[in-house]
Amino acid sequence: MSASILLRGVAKNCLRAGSKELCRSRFLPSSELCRAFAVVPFRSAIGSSSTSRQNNLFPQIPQVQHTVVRSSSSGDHVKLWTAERVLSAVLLGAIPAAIAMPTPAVETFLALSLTVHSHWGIEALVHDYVRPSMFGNVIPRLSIAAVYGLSMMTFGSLCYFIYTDVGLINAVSIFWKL
Amino acid sequence: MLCSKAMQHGLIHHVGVAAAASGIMCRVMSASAAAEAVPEKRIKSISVYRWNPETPGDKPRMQTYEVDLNTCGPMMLDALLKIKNEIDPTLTLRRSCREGICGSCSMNIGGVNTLACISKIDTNLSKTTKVYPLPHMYVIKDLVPDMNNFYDQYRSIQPWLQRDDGLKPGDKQYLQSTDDRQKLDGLYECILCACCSTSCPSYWWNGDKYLGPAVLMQAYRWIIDSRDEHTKERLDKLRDPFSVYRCHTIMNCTKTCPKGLNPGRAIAEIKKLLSGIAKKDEPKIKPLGA
Repeated sequence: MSASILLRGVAKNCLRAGSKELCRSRFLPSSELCRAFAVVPFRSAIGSSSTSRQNNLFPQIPQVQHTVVRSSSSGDHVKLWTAERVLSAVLLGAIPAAIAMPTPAVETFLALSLTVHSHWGIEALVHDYVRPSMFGNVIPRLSIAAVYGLSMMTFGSLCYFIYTDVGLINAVSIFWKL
Repeated sequence: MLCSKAMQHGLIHHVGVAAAASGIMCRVMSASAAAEAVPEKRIKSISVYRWNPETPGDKPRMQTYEVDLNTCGPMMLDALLKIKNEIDPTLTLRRSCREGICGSCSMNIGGVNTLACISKIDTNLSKTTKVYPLPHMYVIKDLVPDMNNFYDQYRSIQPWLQRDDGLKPGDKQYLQSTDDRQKLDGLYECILCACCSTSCPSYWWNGDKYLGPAVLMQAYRWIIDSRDEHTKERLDKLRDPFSVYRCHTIMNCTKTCPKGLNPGRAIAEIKKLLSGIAKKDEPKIKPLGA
């Protein structure tokens, strides 16, 4: 009984000391120290068991995979995001406008906004999936370039269709009649 | 002898209380009589992801355990601990509070990220319930994922009150109006179990650069706190294409959150603040008083 009380007291003191330690590190301005605090015990535990003892109690542990620490990205994406929202709102007006008066000028504007809209969508897809951690540094850049090429070709073809053929809205309505 | 007597007494006392509470003494009596006959076992198969890095060349595999639901608590955590206690002590998992407030036992149960302690065992005995670690995380062992990157990301948003008044913690009490305090509801309850972040495809593909819903919701919690003065600095850190903008409003986060929170909305609010469509309100009560 007395031993258990003693033990409890020791545990309590340890806990108090530990929490104080934690509080102090929480207010440290440098996150480096915190990171060391969080990661090192795990690493050192693996290190010690693989180097010092080779018996059955501490079998050699093969390298445990570690996640990379957060890698940062630079640049400003805010303007692009805002432009995407504005364009979506514009499309809500541009499509009815083009249906109301399918002139080449309005249709060209529609073609441009549709192309840019889909371009940003596909570009986001490529950014998400063709990522440097999987494909290295070259293929992602080539893919983005390919997206630009595809979008320009789309816009060019749509313009060609508008000025040499029946135009977008008419094409859709003819297609609908089928 | 004395001990067994006391136990008996305790048991009888327990039944008595239950019967008095429900007011159906007769049914309890007959139920205890029926209990003399061995009740039919309700065997539930639970298939658990196993991988032990300490066994050289071990490949991840699924191991199926059979648990009698009659002798098991109602939650998945009860079943897993029963397996660990009675069938296979090598099964490794994190758990602590067993009541959904610590966030330790987050795992993928039946295809849904959730806390094992607050998700009921599916009582359909013909179906095997599958249990995996949180998806797309490095596994340390069995159901234990490596959370270092997640915690690093949380640390990177500096989740503490930041002010330029030079006061030390405890010097003065900061004031906050009831309305301003209410803005933190639905945000501060997050227990950082990482169920939402690990359900997000964007986080799966770009988890090294995209902060993920859990961390972004905490970023928003500190951005809109009326007592915090570093709103601009906090927002400026999130302007790059990856930290926030890999969110494509898939909303898996909100769907899976075991605490019923809405990280998707918090991210949308961050985007609004970044673009300038929305502005942070001035505090209704100045934190240091008038």
